[in-house]
Amino acid sequence: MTPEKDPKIIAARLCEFVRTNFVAEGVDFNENGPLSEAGIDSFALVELVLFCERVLGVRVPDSQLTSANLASISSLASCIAELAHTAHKTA
Amino acid sequence: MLVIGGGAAGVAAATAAGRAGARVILLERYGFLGGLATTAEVGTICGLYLRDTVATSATPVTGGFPMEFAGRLQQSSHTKPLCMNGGLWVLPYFPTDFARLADAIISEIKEVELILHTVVASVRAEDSRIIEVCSLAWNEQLQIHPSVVVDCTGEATAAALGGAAAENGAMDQSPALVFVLENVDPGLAKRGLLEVRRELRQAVQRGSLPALCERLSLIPGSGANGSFAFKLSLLPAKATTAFWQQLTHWEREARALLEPLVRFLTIQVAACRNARLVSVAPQLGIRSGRRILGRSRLTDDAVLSLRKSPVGIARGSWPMERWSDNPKPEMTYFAERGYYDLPFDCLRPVELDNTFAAGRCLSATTGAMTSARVIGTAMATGWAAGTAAAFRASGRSLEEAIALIRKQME
Repeated sequence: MTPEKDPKIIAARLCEFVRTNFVAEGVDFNENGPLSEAGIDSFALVELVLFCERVLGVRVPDSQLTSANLASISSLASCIAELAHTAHKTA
Repeated sequence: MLVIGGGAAGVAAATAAGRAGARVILLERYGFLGGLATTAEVGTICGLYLRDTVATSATPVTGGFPMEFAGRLQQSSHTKPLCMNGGLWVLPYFPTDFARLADAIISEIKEVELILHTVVASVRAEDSRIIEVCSLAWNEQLQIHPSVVVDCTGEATAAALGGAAAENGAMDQSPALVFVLENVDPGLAKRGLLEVRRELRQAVQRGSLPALCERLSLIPGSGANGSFAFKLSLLPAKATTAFWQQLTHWEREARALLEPLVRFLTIQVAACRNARLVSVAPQLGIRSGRRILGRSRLTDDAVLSLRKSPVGIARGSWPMERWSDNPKPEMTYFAERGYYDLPFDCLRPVELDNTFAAGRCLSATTGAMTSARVIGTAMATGWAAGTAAAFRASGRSLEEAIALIRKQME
Protein backbone atom coordinates (compact mmCIF):
# COMPACT_ATOMS: atom_id res chain seq x y z
CA MET A 1 0.00 0.00 0.00
CA THR A 2 1.31 3.50 -0.83
CA PRO A 3 0.89 5.63 2.24
CA GLU A 4 -1.17 8.81 1.89
CA LYS A 5 1.08 11.86 2.32
CA ASP A 6 -1.30 14.80 2.05
CA PRO A 7 -2.13 16.02 5.58
CA LYS A 8 -5.45 17.51 4.37
CA ILE A 9 -6.66 14.22 2.90
CA ILE A 10 -5.42 12.34 5.97
CA ALA A 11 -7.24 14.78 8.29
CA ALA A 12 -10.47 14.40 6.31
CA ARG A 13 -10.34 10.63 6.54
CA LEU A 14 -9.53 10.67 10.25
CA CYS A 15 -12.38 13.12 10.89
CA GLU A 16 -14.79 10.86 9.07
CA PHE A 17 -13.64 7.85 11.09
CA VAL A 18 -13.95 9.68 14.40
CA ARG A 19 -17.37 11.12 13.55
CA THR A 20 -18.69 7.72 12.51
CA ASN A 21 -17.35 5.84 15.50
CA PHE A 22 -16.92 8.05 18.53
CA VAL A 23 -18.50 11.48 18.46
CA ALA A 24 -21.97 11.67 19.99
CA GLU A 25 -24.69 13.23 17.88
CA GLY A 26 -24.93 16.97 18.35
CA VAL A 27 -21.34 17.36 19.53
CA ASP A 28 -19.47 20.01 17.59
CA PHE A 29 -16.31 18.41 16.24
CA ASN A 30 -13.63 19.65 13.87
CA GLU A 31 -10.06 18.74 13.02
CA ASN A 32 -8.53 21.44 15.22
CA GLY A 33 -10.60 20.82 18.36
CA PRO A 34 -9.10 18.87 21.28
CA LEU A 35 -9.86 15.15 20.90
CA SER A 36 -10.37 14.82 24.65
CA GLU A 37 -13.31 17.26 24.48
CA ALA A 38 -14.94 15.18 21.74
CA GLY A 39 -15.05 12.21 24.11
CA ILE A 40 -12.01 10.43 22.63
CA ASP A 41 -10.45 8.46 25.50
CA SER A 42 -7.42 6.18 25.36
CA PHE A 43 -9.55 3.25 24.15
CA ALA A 44 -10.81 5.32 21.21
CA LEU A 45 -7.32 6.66 20.53
CA VAL A 46 -6.09 3.12 20.03
CA GLU A 47 -8.79 2.57 17.41
CA LEU A 48 -7.76 5.78 15.71
CA VAL A 49 -4.08 4.81 15.65
CA LEU A 50 -4.92 1.34 14.33
CA PHE A 51 -7.07 2.97 11.65
CA CYS A 52 -4.00 4.97 10.54
CA GLU A 53 -2.01 1.78 10.27
CA ARG A 54 -4.71 -0.31 8.61
CA VAL A 55 -6.17 2.20 6.14
CA LEU A 56 -3.48 4.86 5.69
CA GLY A 57 -0.62 2.38 5.68
CA VAL A 58 1.54 4.14 8.28
CA ARG A 59 2.72 2.56 11.49
CA VAL A 60 3.04 5.09 14.31
CA PRO A 61 6.14 4.27 16.39
CA ASP A 62 5.71 4.21 20.19
CA SER A 63 7.87 7.32 20.48
CA GLN A 64 5.36 9.29 18.36
CA LEU A 65 2.36 8.37 20.53
CA THR A 66 2.70 11.64 22.41
CA SER A 67 -0.04 13.85 23.79
CA ALA A 68 1.10 16.62 21.41
CA ASN A 69 0.64 14.38 18.34
CA LEU A 70 -2.69 13.08 19.67
CA ALA A 71 -4.10 16.44 20.72
CA SER A 72 -6.28 16.95 17.66
CA ILE A 73 -7.00 15.40 14.28
CA SER A 74 -4.82 18.01 12.56
CA SER A 75 -1.80 17.29 14.79
CA LEU A 76 -2.22 13.55 14.24
CA ALA A 77 -2.63 14.11 10.47
CA SER A 78 0.63 16.13 10.35
CA CYS A 79 2.40 13.36 12.25
CA ILE A 80 1.06 10.69 9.86
CA ALA A 81 2.03 12.76 6.79
CA GLU A 82 5.53 13.25 8.19
CA LEU A 83 5.87 9.53 8.86
CA ALA A 84 4.66 8.73 5.33
CA HIS A 85 7.26 11.09 3.83
CA THR A 86 10.02 9.55 5.94
CA ALA A 87 8.94 6.04 5.01
CA HIS A 88 8.86 7.05 1.32
CA LYS A 89 12.39 8.57 1.48
CA THR A 90 13.74 5.55 3.35
CA ALA A 91 12.21 3.21 0.77
CA MET B 1 -20.27 -3.50 70.86
CA LEU B 2 -18.98 -5.34 67.85
CA VAL B 3 -17.71 -4.04 64.50
CA ILE B 4 -17.30 -6.75 61.87
CA GLY B 5 -14.87 -6.04 59.05
CA GLY B 6 -11.75 -3.86 59.24
CA GLY B 7 -12.05 -2.12 55.88
CA ALA B 8 -12.58 1.60 55.31
CA ALA B 9 -16.08 1.49 56.85
CA GLY B 10 -15.13 -0.77 59.76
CA VAL B 11 -12.04 1.22 60.76
CA ALA B 12 -14.14 4.39 60.72
CA ALA B 13 -16.94 2.71 62.70
CA ALA B 14 -14.61 1.33 65.40
CA THR B 15 -12.83 4.69 65.66
CA ALA B 16 -16.11 6.60 65.98
CA ALA B 17 -17.49 4.22 68.59
CA GLY B 18 -14.24 4.11 70.57
CA ARG B 19 -13.89 7.89 70.58
CA ALA B 20 -17.53 8.13 71.73
CA GLY B 21 -16.56 6.02 74.74
CA ALA B 22 -17.94 2.60 73.76
CA ARG B 23 -15.98 -0.60 74.36
CA VAL B 24 -15.49 -2.09 70.93
CA ILE B 25 -14.36 -5.40 69.49
CA LEU B 26 -13.25 -5.12 65.84
CA LEU B 27 -13.01 -8.34 63.82
CA GLU B 28 -10.94 -8.54 60.64
CA ARG B 29 -10.50 -11.55 58.41
CA TYR B 30 -6.98 -10.77 57.17
CA GLY B 31 -3.76 -10.13 59.10
CA PHE B 32 -3.96 -6.37 58.53
CA LEU B 33 -6.58 -3.64 58.24
CA GLY B 34 -7.94 -1.82 55.19
CA GLY B 35 -10.33 -4.26 53.51
CA LEU B 36 -10.36 -3.95 49.74
CA ALA B 37 -8.31 -0.74 49.95
CA THR B 38 -5.39 -2.93 51.01
CA THR B 39 -6.24 -6.53 50.06
CA ALA B 40 -7.36 -5.59 46.54
CA GLU B 41 -4.89 -2.67 46.36
CA VAL B 42 -7.49 -0.28 44.94
CA GLY B 43 -4.86 2.49 44.93
CA THR B 44 -7.05 5.61 44.89
CA ILE B 45 -9.65 6.91 47.32
CA CYS B 46 -12.74 8.13 45.49
CA GLY B 47 -15.64 10.03 47.04
CA LEU B 48 -13.60 12.45 49.17
CA TYR B 49 -13.90 15.51 46.95
CA LEU B 50 -16.41 17.34 44.77
CA ARG B 51 -16.22 16.84 41.02
CA ASP B 52 -14.78 19.98 39.50
CA THR B 53 -13.33 20.54 36.03
CA VAL B 54 -12.24 24.11 36.73
CA ALA B 55 -10.67 24.27 40.20
CA THR B 56 -6.94 23.78 40.59
CA SER B 57 -7.27 22.14 44.01
CA ALA B 58 -9.63 19.56 45.47
CA THR B 59 -12.66 20.59 47.52
CA PRO B 60 -13.64 18.11 50.28
CA VAL B 61 -17.27 16.97 50.17
CA THR B 62 -17.35 16.53 53.92
CA GLY B 63 -15.48 17.26 57.12
CA GLY B 64 -14.81 14.78 59.88
CA PHE B 65 -13.10 11.41 59.81
CA PRO B 66 -12.70 10.82 56.03
CA MET B 67 -10.71 14.04 55.74
CA GLU B 68 -8.72 13.31 58.91
CA PHE B 69 -7.78 9.93 57.45
CA ALA B 70 -7.03 11.43 54.02
CA GLY B 71 -4.81 14.10 55.55
CA ARG B 72 -2.74 11.57 57.49
CA LEU B 73 -2.59 9.22 54.49
CA GLN B 74 -1.28 12.01 52.27
CA GLN B 75 1.56 12.56 54.73
CA SER B 76 2.57 8.91 54.92
CA SER B 77 2.05 8.14 51.20
CA HIS B 78 3.54 11.48 50.04
CA THR B 79 0.65 11.87 47.60
CA LYS B 80 -1.83 14.61 46.92
CA PRO B 81 -5.31 14.77 45.35
CA LEU B 82 -5.25 14.16 41.61
CA CYS B 83 -7.74 15.40 39.01
CA MET B 84 -8.74 12.83 36.40
CA ASN B 85 -10.90 13.12 33.28
CA GLY B 86 -14.27 14.73 33.90
CA GLY B 87 -13.04 16.70 36.93
CA LEU B 88 -13.00 13.65 39.18
CA TRP B 89 -10.63 14.19 42.10
CA VAL B 90 -9.11 11.16 43.81
CA LEU B 91 -6.42 10.59 46.42
CA PRO B 92 -3.76 8.07 45.31
CA TYR B 93 -2.15 6.04 48.11
CA PHE B 94 0.12 3.07 48.71
CA PRO B 95 -1.81 0.09 50.15
CA THR B 96 0.82 -0.62 52.81
CA ASP B 97 0.51 2.99 54.05
CA PHE B 98 -3.27 2.62 54.22
CA ALA B 99 -2.97 -0.53 56.33
CA ARG B 100 -0.37 1.01 58.64
CA LEU B 101 -2.39 4.20 59.13
CA ALA B 102 -5.59 2.26 59.86
CA ASP B 103 -3.71 0.27 62.48
CA ALA B 104 -2.16 3.40 64.00
CA ILE B 105 -5.57 5.05 64.32
CA ILE B 106 -7.10 1.96 65.93
CA SER B 107 -4.09 1.66 68.28
CA GLU B 108 -4.69 5.19 69.54
CA ILE B 109 -8.04 4.19 71.02
CA LYS B 110 -7.73 1.99 74.08
CA GLU B 111 -11.46 1.15 73.98
CA VAL B 112 -11.01 -0.83 70.73
CA GLU B 113 -9.82 -4.44 70.82
CA LEU B 114 -8.77 -5.61 67.37
CA ILE B 115 -8.89 -9.33 66.59
CA LEU B 116 -7.28 -10.28 63.28
CA HIS B 117 -7.70 -13.45 61.22
CA THR B 118 -11.29 -13.81 62.33
CA VAL B 119 -14.39 -14.54 60.26
CA VAL B 120 -18.03 -14.70 61.28
CA ALA B 121 -19.51 -18.18 60.97
CA SER B 122 -23.00 -17.83 62.46
CA VAL B 123 -25.27 -15.33 64.13
CA ARG B 124 -28.13 -15.80 66.59
CA ALA B 125 -30.88 -13.23 66.78
CA GLU B 126 -33.83 -13.00 69.19
CA ASP B 127 -36.51 -10.35 69.57
CA SER B 128 -35.14 -8.29 66.69
CA ARG B 129 -31.64 -8.22 68.15
CA ILE B 130 -28.41 -10.00 67.32
CA ILE B 131 -27.50 -11.62 70.65
CA GLU B 132 -24.62 -13.87 69.68
CA VAL B 133 -21.97 -13.87 66.95
CA CYS B 134 -19.95 -17.06 66.52
CA SER B 135 -16.66 -16.51 64.77
CA LEU B 136 -13.62 -18.50 63.89
CA ALA B 137 -10.60 -16.70 65.32
CA TRP B 138 -7.73 -18.25 63.36
CA ASN B 139 -8.19 -21.81 64.63
CA GLU B 140 -10.62 -21.43 67.54
CA GLN B 141 -14.30 -20.68 67.91
CA LEU B 142 -14.98 -17.34 69.52
CA GLN B 143 -18.44 -16.47 70.84
CA ILE B 144 -19.27 -12.79 71.24
CA HIS B 145 -22.44 -11.40 72.86
CA PRO B 146 -22.62 -7.82 71.65
CA SER B 147 -25.07 -5.14 72.72
CA VAL B 148 -24.85 -3.55 69.27
CA VAL B 149 -23.40 -4.77 65.95
CA VAL B 150 -22.00 -2.74 63.04
CA ASP B 151 -21.82 -4.85 59.89
CA CYS B 152 -18.97 -3.59 57.71
CA THR B 153 -18.35 -6.93 56.00
CA GLY B 154 -19.05 -5.61 52.50
CA GLU B 155 -21.44 -8.52 52.12
CA ALA B 156 -23.96 -7.83 54.92
CA THR B 157 -22.82 -11.15 56.35
CA ALA B 158 -23.83 -10.58 59.97
CA ALA B 159 -27.09 -8.82 59.15
CA ALA B 160 -28.12 -11.52 56.66
CA LEU B 161 -27.15 -14.38 58.98
CA GLY B 162 -29.14 -12.60 61.70
CA GLY B 163 -32.26 -12.66 59.54
CA ALA B 164 -32.22 -9.23 57.90
CA ALA B 165 -33.64 -9.05 54.38
CA ALA B 166 -30.89 -8.49 51.85
CA GLU B 167 -30.41 -8.36 48.11
CA ASN B 168 -27.67 -9.95 46.08
CA GLY B 169 -25.70 -7.34 44.16
CA ALA B 170 -22.96 -9.75 43.13
CA MET B 171 -23.89 -9.58 39.46
CA ASP B 172 -24.09 -5.78 39.32
CA GLN B 173 -20.42 -5.14 38.60
CA SER B 174 -17.32 -6.91 37.38
CA PRO B 175 -14.32 -7.41 39.71
CA ALA B 176 -10.68 -6.52 38.99
CA LEU B 177 -7.24 -7.86 39.86
CA VAL B 178 -4.47 -5.37 40.61
CA PHE B 179 -0.82 -6.19 39.96
CA VAL B 180 2.37 -4.15 39.94
CA LEU B 181 5.09 -4.06 37.29
CA GLU B 182 8.38 -2.34 38.03
CA ASN B 183 11.02 -1.01 35.66
CA VAL B 184 8.50 0.29 33.14
CA ASP B 185 9.26 3.44 31.11
CA PRO B 186 7.46 6.21 33.09
CA GLY B 187 6.47 7.84 29.76
CA LEU B 188 3.95 5.04 29.25
CA ALA B 189 1.67 6.63 31.85
CA LYS B 190 1.69 9.97 30.00
CA ARG B 191 0.79 8.15 26.78
CA GLY B 192 -2.23 6.61 28.51
CA LEU B 193 -0.95 3.03 27.93
CA LEU B 194 -1.51 3.64 24.25
CA GLU B 195 1.15 1.32 22.87
CA VAL B 196 0.16 -1.36 25.37
CA ARG B 197 -3.46 -1.14 24.27
CA ARG B 198 -2.44 -1.22 20.62
CA GLU B 199 -0.38 -4.38 20.99
CA LEU B 200 -3.01 -6.06 23.17
CA ARG B 201 -5.77 -5.24 20.69
CA GLN B 202 -3.81 -6.78 17.82
CA ALA B 203 -2.80 -9.83 19.88
CA VAL B 204 -6.40 -10.46 20.88
CA GLN B 205 -7.54 -10.08 17.27
CA ARG B 206 -4.87 -12.57 16.18
CA GLY B 207 -6.01 -14.94 18.93
CA SER B 208 -2.61 -15.06 20.61
CA LEU B 209 -3.97 -13.67 23.90
CA PRO B 210 -7.40 -14.16 25.52
CA ALA B 211 -9.83 -11.25 25.12
CA LEU B 212 -9.72 -10.49 28.85
CA CYS B 213 -6.19 -9.13 28.42
CA GLU B 214 -7.59 -6.07 26.69
CA ARG B 215 -9.43 -5.13 29.87
CA LEU B 216 -6.31 -3.57 31.32
CA SER B 217 -6.06 -0.11 32.82
CA LEU B 218 -3.66 1.92 34.90
CA ILE B 219 -4.37 2.93 38.52
CA PRO B 220 -4.39 6.76 38.42
CA GLY B 221 -1.35 8.29 40.06
CA SER B 222 0.86 5.24 39.59
CA GLY B 223 3.76 5.01 37.14
CA ALA B 224 5.78 8.12 37.95
CA ASN B 225 8.83 6.19 39.19
CA GLY B 226 8.48 3.29 36.76
CA SER B 227 6.34 1.30 39.20
CA PHE B 228 3.00 0.71 37.44
CA ALA B 229 -0.11 -0.58 39.23
CA PHE B 230 -2.35 -2.17 36.61
CA LYS B 231 -5.94 -3.25 37.00
CA LEU B 232 -7.29 -6.18 35.00
CA SER B 233 -11.09 -6.06 34.92
CA LEU B 234 -12.93 -9.35 34.56
CA LEU B 235 -16.44 -10.02 33.31
CA PRO B 236 -19.57 -9.77 35.50
CA ALA B 237 -20.80 -12.82 37.41
CA LYS B 238 -23.22 -15.30 35.87
CA ALA B 239 -26.63 -15.67 37.45
CA THR B 240 -26.43 -19.44 37.33
CA THR B 241 -23.35 -19.81 39.54
CA ALA B 242 -23.14 -19.52 43.33
CA PHE B 243 -21.01 -16.50 44.18
CA TRP B 244 -18.37 -18.50 46.04
CA GLN B 245 -17.97 -20.67 42.93
CA GLN B 246 -17.78 -17.60 40.72
CA LEU B 247 -15.19 -16.02 42.99
CA THR B 248 -13.00 -19.10 42.89
CA HIS B 249 -13.23 -19.17 39.11
CA TRP B 250 -12.42 -15.44 38.81
CA GLU B 251 -9.41 -15.58 41.11
CA ARG B 252 -7.90 -18.51 39.24
CA GLU B 253 -8.70 -17.16 35.78
CA ALA B 254 -7.22 -13.72 36.45
CA ARG B 255 -4.08 -14.98 38.20
CA ALA B 256 -3.41 -17.54 35.47
CA LEU B 257 -3.52 -14.75 32.85
CA LEU B 258 -0.80 -12.66 34.43
CA GLU B 259 2.17 -14.77 33.39
CA PRO B 260 1.39 -14.83 29.61
CA LEU B 261 0.24 -11.22 29.72
CA VAL B 262 3.41 -9.91 31.36
CA ARG B 263 5.60 -12.06 29.10
CA PHE B 264 3.80 -10.63 26.08
CA LEU B 265 4.30 -7.05 27.28
CA THR B 266 8.02 -7.51 27.90
CA ILE B 267 8.46 -8.89 24.38
CA GLN B 268 6.12 -6.64 22.39
CA VAL B 269 6.15 -3.25 24.11
CA ALA B 270 9.44 -1.36 24.26
CA ALA B 271 8.38 0.56 27.39
CA CYS B 272 7.91 -2.76 29.21
CA ARG B 273 11.05 -4.52 27.98
CA ASN B 274 12.68 -4.64 31.42
CA ALA B 275 9.45 -4.86 33.39
CA ARG B 276 9.18 -7.24 36.31
CA LEU B 277 6.00 -8.48 37.98
CA VAL B 278 6.68 -7.65 41.63
CA SER B 279 3.31 -8.11 43.32
CA VAL B 280 -0.25 -9.26 42.82
CA ALA B 281 -3.07 -8.18 45.13
CA PRO B 282 -3.99 -10.91 47.65
CA GLN B 283 -7.64 -10.60 46.67
CA LEU B 284 -9.76 -9.56 43.70
CA GLY B 285 -11.42 -6.17 44.01
CA ILE B 286 -15.10 -7.08 44.36
CA ARG B 287 -17.09 -4.00 43.48
CA SER B 288 -20.52 -5.19 44.49
CA GLY B 289 -21.96 -7.74 46.89
CA ARG B 290 -24.93 -8.47 49.14
CA ARG B 291 -26.54 -5.48 50.82
CA ILE B 292 -29.37 -5.00 53.28
CA LEU B 293 -32.87 -3.94 52.34
CA GLY B 294 -33.03 -1.27 55.00
CA ARG B 295 -35.64 1.03 56.54
CA SER B 296 -34.74 3.49 53.80
CA ARG B 297 -33.10 2.82 50.45
CA LEU B 298 -30.83 5.16 48.54
CA THR B 299 -32.25 5.37 45.01
CA ASP B 300 -30.81 6.23 41.59
CA ASP B 301 -33.08 9.25 41.53
CA ALA B 302 -31.86 10.51 44.94
CA VAL B 303 -28.27 10.25 43.73
CA LEU B 304 -28.79 11.91 40.34
CA SER B 305 -31.03 14.68 41.69
CA LEU B 306 -28.55 15.38 44.53
CA ARG B 307 -31.29 14.86 47.13
CA LYS B 308 -30.58 16.19 50.60
CA SER B 309 -32.08 14.71 53.77
CA PRO B 310 -32.71 16.14 57.25
CA VAL B 311 -31.29 12.85 58.57
CA GLY B 312 -28.39 12.74 56.09
CA ILE B 313 -25.38 11.19 57.84
CA ALA B 314 -22.92 11.09 54.93
CA ARG B 315 -22.44 12.75 51.56
CA GLY B 316 -21.89 11.05 48.23
CA SER B 317 -19.92 12.92 45.58
CA TRP B 318 -18.80 10.15 43.23
CA PRO B 319 -20.78 9.63 39.99
CA MET B 320 -22.41 6.33 39.21
CA GLU B 321 -19.57 4.17 37.91
CA ARG B 322 -20.57 0.82 36.53
CA TRP B 323 -18.04 -1.77 35.41
CA SER B 324 -19.80 -4.28 33.24
CA ASP B 325 -19.07 -6.01 29.92
CA ASN B 326 -17.19 -3.02 28.50
CA PRO B 327 -13.47 -2.74 29.24
CA LYS B 328 -14.09 0.72 30.69
CA PRO B 329 -16.77 1.88 33.15
CA GLU B 330 -20.07 3.49 32.18
CA MET B 331 -20.20 6.81 34.01
CA THR B 332 -23.40 8.66 34.90
CA TYR B 333 -22.57 12.12 36.17
CA PHE B 334 -24.52 14.56 38.23
CA ALA B 335 -23.86 18.31 38.32
CA GLU B 336 -20.34 19.48 39.10
CA ARG B 337 -19.70 20.44 42.74
CA GLY B 338 -22.86 18.58 43.69
CA TYR B 339 -23.41 15.93 46.34
CA TYR B 340 -26.29 13.91 47.76
CA ASP B 341 -27.08 12.84 51.29
CA LEU B 342 -27.22 9.27 52.51
CA PRO B 343 -30.18 9.09 54.92
CA PHE B 344 -29.51 7.45 58.30
CA ASP B 345 -32.12 4.73 57.82
CA CYS B 346 -30.14 3.29 54.87
CA LEU B 347 -27.84 1.89 57.58
CA ARG B 348 -30.65 0.15 59.46
CA PRO B 349 -32.01 -3.31 58.66
CA VAL B 350 -35.79 -3.49 59.08
CA GLU B 351 -35.64 -6.67 61.16
CA LEU B 352 -32.81 -5.86 63.60
CA ASP B 353 -32.88 -3.05 66.17
CA ASN B 354 -29.31 -3.36 67.45
CA THR B 355 -27.60 -3.65 64.08
CA PHE B 356 -26.28 -1.12 61.58
CA ALA B 357 -24.77 -1.78 58.15
CA ALA B 358 -22.20 0.54 56.58
CA GLY B 359 -19.96 0.73 53.55
CA ARG B 360 -20.86 -1.36 50.55
CA CYS B 361 -23.65 -3.28 52.32
CA LEU B 362 -25.94 -0.41 53.27
CA SER B 363 -29.34 -0.20 51.62
CA ALA B 364 -29.23 1.17 48.08
CA THR B 365 -30.48 0.34 44.61
CA THR B 366 -28.05 -1.18 42.12
CA GLY B 367 -27.35 2.15 40.39
CA ALA B 368 -27.08 4.17 43.61
CA MET B 369 -24.55 1.69 45.02
CA THR B 370 -22.31 2.17 41.97
CA SER B 371 -21.81 5.66 43.42
CA ALA B 372 -22.04 5.07 47.19
CA ARG B 373 -19.66 2.08 47.31
CA VAL B 374 -16.41 4.07 47.02
CA ILE B 375 -13.86 4.22 49.86
CA GLY B 376 -14.43 7.86 50.89
CA THR B 377 -18.20 7.38 51.17
CA ALA B 378 -17.70 4.02 52.92
CA MET B 379 -15.59 5.76 55.56
CA ALA B 380 -18.28 8.37 56.09
CA THR B 381 -21.09 5.82 56.48
CA GLY B 382 -18.87 3.69 58.74
CA TRP B 383 -18.24 6.69 60.96
CA ALA B 384 -21.99 7.37 61.16
CA ALA B 385 -22.82 3.74 61.97
CA GLY B 386 -20.12 3.58 64.67
CA THR B 387 -21.33 6.79 66.28
CA ALA B 388 -24.95 5.63 66.23
CA ALA B 389 -23.97 2.23 67.64
CA ALA B 390 -22.06 3.84 70.53
CA PHE B 391 -25.04 6.04 71.34
CA ARG B 392 -27.37 3.05 71.27
CA ALA B 393 -25.01 0.96 73.43
CA SER B 394 -24.98 3.65 76.11
CA GLY B 395 -28.73 4.24 76.00
CA ARG B 396 -28.56 7.64 74.33
CA SER B 397 -31.00 8.48 71.53
CA LEU B 398 -30.30 8.00 67.84
CA GLU B 399 -31.56 11.55 67.22
CA GLU B 400 -28.68 12.84 69.35
CA ALA B 401 -26.29 10.66 67.39
CA ILE B 402 -27.55 11.99 64.06
CA ALA B 403 -27.23 15.58 65.27
CA LEU B 404 -23.61 14.96 66.30
CA ILE B 405 -22.73 13.22 63.00
CA ARG B 406 -24.25 16.08 60.99
CA LYS B 407 -22.28 18.61 63.01
CA GLN B 408 -19.05 16.71 62.35
CA MET B 409 -19.74 16.71 58.59
CA GLU B 410 -19.62 20.52 58.43
